[in-house]
Amino acid sequence: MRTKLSSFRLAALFVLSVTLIAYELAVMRTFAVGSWSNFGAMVISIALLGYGLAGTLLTFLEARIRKNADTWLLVSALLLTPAMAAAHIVAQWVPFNPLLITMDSTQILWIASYYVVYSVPFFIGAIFIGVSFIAFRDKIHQLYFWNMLGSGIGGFFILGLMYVLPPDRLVGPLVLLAGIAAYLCTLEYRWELRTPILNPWKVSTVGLTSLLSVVVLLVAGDIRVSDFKPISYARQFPDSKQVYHTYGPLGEFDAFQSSFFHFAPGLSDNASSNIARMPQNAYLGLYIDGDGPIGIMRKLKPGEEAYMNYLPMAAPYRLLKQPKVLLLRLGGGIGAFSALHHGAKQVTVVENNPYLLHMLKRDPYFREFTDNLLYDPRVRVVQTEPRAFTGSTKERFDLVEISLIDSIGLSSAGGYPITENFIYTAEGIRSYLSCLEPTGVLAVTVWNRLNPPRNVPKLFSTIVAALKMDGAAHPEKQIFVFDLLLSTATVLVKKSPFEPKEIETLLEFCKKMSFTPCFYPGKPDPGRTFDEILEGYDKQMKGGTATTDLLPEELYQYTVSWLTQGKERELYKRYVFNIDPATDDRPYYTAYVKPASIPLVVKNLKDLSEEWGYILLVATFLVSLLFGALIIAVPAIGRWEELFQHRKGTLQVLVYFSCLGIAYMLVEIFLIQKLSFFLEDPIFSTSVVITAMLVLSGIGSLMSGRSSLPRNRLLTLAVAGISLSVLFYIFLLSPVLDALLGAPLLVKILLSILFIAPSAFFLGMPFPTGLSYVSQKRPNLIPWAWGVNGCLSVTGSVLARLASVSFGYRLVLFGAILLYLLAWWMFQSLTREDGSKDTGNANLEGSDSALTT
Amino acid sequence: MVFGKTTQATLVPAFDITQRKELPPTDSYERYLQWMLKNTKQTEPFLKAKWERSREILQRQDIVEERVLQAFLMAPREEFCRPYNRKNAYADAAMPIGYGQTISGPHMVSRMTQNLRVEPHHRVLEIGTGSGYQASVLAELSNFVFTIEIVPELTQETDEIYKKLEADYPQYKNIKRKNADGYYGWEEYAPFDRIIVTAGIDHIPPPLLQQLTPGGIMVIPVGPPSGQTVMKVTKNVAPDGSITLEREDIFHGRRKVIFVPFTAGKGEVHSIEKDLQKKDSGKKEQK
Repeated sequence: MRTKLSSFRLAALFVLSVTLIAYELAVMRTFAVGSWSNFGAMVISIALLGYGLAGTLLTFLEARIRKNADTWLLVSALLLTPAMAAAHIVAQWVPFNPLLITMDSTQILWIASYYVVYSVPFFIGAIFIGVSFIAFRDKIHQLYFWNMLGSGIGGFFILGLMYVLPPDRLVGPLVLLAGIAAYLCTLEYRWELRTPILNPWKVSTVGLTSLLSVVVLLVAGDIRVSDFKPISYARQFPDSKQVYHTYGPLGEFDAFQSSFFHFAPGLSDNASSNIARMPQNAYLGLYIDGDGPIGIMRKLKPGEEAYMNYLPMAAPYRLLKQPKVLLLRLGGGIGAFSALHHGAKQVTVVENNPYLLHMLKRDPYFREFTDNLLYDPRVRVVQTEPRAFTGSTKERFDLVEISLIDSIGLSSAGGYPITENFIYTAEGIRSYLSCLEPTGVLAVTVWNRLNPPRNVPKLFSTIVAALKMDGAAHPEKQIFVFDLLLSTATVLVKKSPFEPKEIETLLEFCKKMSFTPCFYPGKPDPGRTFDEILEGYDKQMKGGTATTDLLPEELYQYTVSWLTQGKERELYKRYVFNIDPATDDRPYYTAYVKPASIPLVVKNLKDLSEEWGYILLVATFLVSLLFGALIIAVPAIGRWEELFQHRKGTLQVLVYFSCLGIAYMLVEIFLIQKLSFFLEDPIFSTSVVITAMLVLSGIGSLMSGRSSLPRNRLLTLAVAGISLSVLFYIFLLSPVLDALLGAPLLVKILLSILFIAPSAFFLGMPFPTGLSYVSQKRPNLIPWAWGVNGCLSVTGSVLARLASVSFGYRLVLFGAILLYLLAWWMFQSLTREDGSKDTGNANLEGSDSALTT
Repeated sequence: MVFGKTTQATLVPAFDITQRKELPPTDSYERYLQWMLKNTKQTEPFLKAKWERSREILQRQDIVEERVLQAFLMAPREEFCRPYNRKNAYADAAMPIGYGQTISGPHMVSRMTQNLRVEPHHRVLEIGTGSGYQASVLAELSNFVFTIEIVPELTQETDEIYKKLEADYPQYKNIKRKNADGYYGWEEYAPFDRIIVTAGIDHIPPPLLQQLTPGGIMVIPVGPPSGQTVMKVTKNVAPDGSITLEREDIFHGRRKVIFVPFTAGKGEVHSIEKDLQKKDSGKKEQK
């Protein structure tokens, strides 16, 4: 009978685990829609802070909880419903404004208030889970399995909800789920009836609380979109009219019609003296999660098209007659229109955003507005990730164009986030080059990020690395670069060396456009030496006024020269920013801060405000370290005698669970990052990886619980399994993924699960094995070990990102292996010191439980 | 011809700033304070904060001219802030004013104003009235300020602020205001000697360049939403009609002169293809 009751509690744990993970992802969506999506990393840390705090508290209350676990479970599940609703509503009223973060220090307080508000539901949820671990200490493996399974399913559950509900309404169903968990905890065991029964008072309290929370959410749960989101601005245009709205896991899509939208990135100043007027009402503004806008272009009338000749994207058409064009990403259609305007014979557009494509292909309004652009017989649309296409196609093109896609969807408040970008990596560039005809051209246009320049030099190093991978003998003969001062820069890479006549044509084009040719084969050296330039930028970075009037074109010229003359190491070392090539191992085209210059960047953050995405990452890491230290220290100090004095092994337990917390996340975050490219979107990779890892780890846990192997040997097996599968990731995953890029998405999802399976299975073993040992030998350490593990997972998740930016994935994965080996060693020394004969996990199951009623 | 529209209807300022007998002293805080308390309704805590901010502005070289400094010291920034931000009026920060807009920080306003090099007779066009503060500083320097705001409600609110202040600051009567899309400039009063754009855009609007006089200066933030560079654009037209534009980063001093190929007249759609074809055929002929 007791088992029956336990089943209900386990079911409650399962439902609550679904709820908590789903809530975490719903909060991320809320941030993305209301303010800034980059706070995703913050939400994970908020959640795990709640877990850590709960672990700490439970360390002190462990004995009391064991006496009355049922009540603790019921109360925490019951409190979770209003807590989730309240946190969501209160957070909407926090007046945080990311736009002002570098100017106004009170904004930091508002960020802190998010931590306070949102950590409450996670804290309460974590109390429930922690109490379960204490109460069911004889069923650790089962418990861990249901916890993991629930969390895994939670990821998919919320993904499904996102298809049917707008972001404002995601929390409601989760509140009901928490209500179900609470309901499952109202069951009481009556000895006299020998069966679990419902307590009507408790049931009605649960029902009423959940219902009230949902009603309050319906009334007051709308997401308050920051005034500073670009979409708020569009709503204020006097003639603005919303023409499209949809939502889904990839975001909320809103399009507006207004005569106030004007787009012409990189437009030559000469347009003003050469064209009568700019086309009017030529664009719709498309906002994704309120950020943007992306300009959706209408079909221009013949007289209006002249301005397209003054855009940098016109350059390659000076060399190519009736080219076959491959456009990587559709943007708002300007690239495709421009290609057709310049006489392209055929335009293949690779775009993976289903909403954008659906809107332009199926919605009658947009079809009319774009004059059926995507149905033009010369235009072909392929719905996939650019690299999935270029990596698998056998077709060859005269021009591959990537134009300004790095700024799509960015907002003024967001800056440039530090996220994986597999478009701009050496392997990516190489893949685009491989799609070119022998005389074809790759054209990349980006915004110049100056003071000091960073993205363009990094693009150069990435392109040169790609050309070298391809075996180019003289990469410098294949590159032509021009820019518009303080605006855009365009790099043309030819599959074969540029002919003198082609260079002449491009120089003529630059002259007519007043674009500056920055590098081309045979360009004479600028007057200034590279030493002077490097020193100048060094001074500028340090906040001093540069002594020289530094022109980016001089730096660009020397950069390409040095890169192609084998002096790249010296260049990377001496330049103020990290301009190493972005690679698939380190796909961070937007990460430029060298770790050593962090203090300098912080000091001059007002001038370098675009870099605050990186600084935020570092700050989150430090905060998580601080939380970790506190959560370890508070119980350690508060219960010093009990935990440490005359008790061997406490330190080993601490190190063991810390290692597991960090290392698990290093592997998980790696897989999310790496597969975001394979699975075509981070939202898919996040859901697939989280779900697959948690479920498979849960199964690993369950299996290890049933194993009759001594824990020592079980752990050895697990660590060996983990190491082998991680070594597979290090050495073989990239080529395997590259080879399978062209497969359909569903197949790729199944393959991903297959790749995740071995590591996830073994990764599920060390934690419950350790915990079951602790519960047997040192039960009072359970909540602490659990809390430390949770909190260090936060550190691990941020560390994973930070370390991949600085050192690349391989080193991160080697680090994970080392941490597991350290954990293994700790466990060995623990059981050695303990001296007792270890009997294995299986023998523990079914022993004494706290859930006796 | 697009450029060179030089005939302007004569404008008479509602209040001639050149007739002002005195402007605030800038050599010591005490003298400045006394003068301001005597001649304006501004109060001591704000004056002190403003003076302190002005020292920082001078130190950072956002302002290098006495008359621009006096303009900064005159303009009551606190009146243009929203009540909840009033006490921080002179903090080194942009502050929200509603409608997703901000009043730019004092350093940015100073730097942009200084770069415009405004003279009293200049016609100055501002795109993006916002709080109205930038135009109030400009009104200390020029008799002819024109400002355009895109958000109707904000136009209205700022209008009321000006009307309230006009009694004490008659120079604000010189600020012509309208609610419109600034992209197309203000044809009726064009051309302008100075244009200041306070809203970011991904290119310099050709209509604004067209409405800039020869020798005119435009200050404008250009770039993607996530990071714009504030640049100063100077337009020069030589006697032979050839045009040069100079782009300069107002914070980092890097600058470049570019030559704009001259074309015949307004309305002609210039075709690069034709030019290139001509060139190609010319070469063939030479061969």
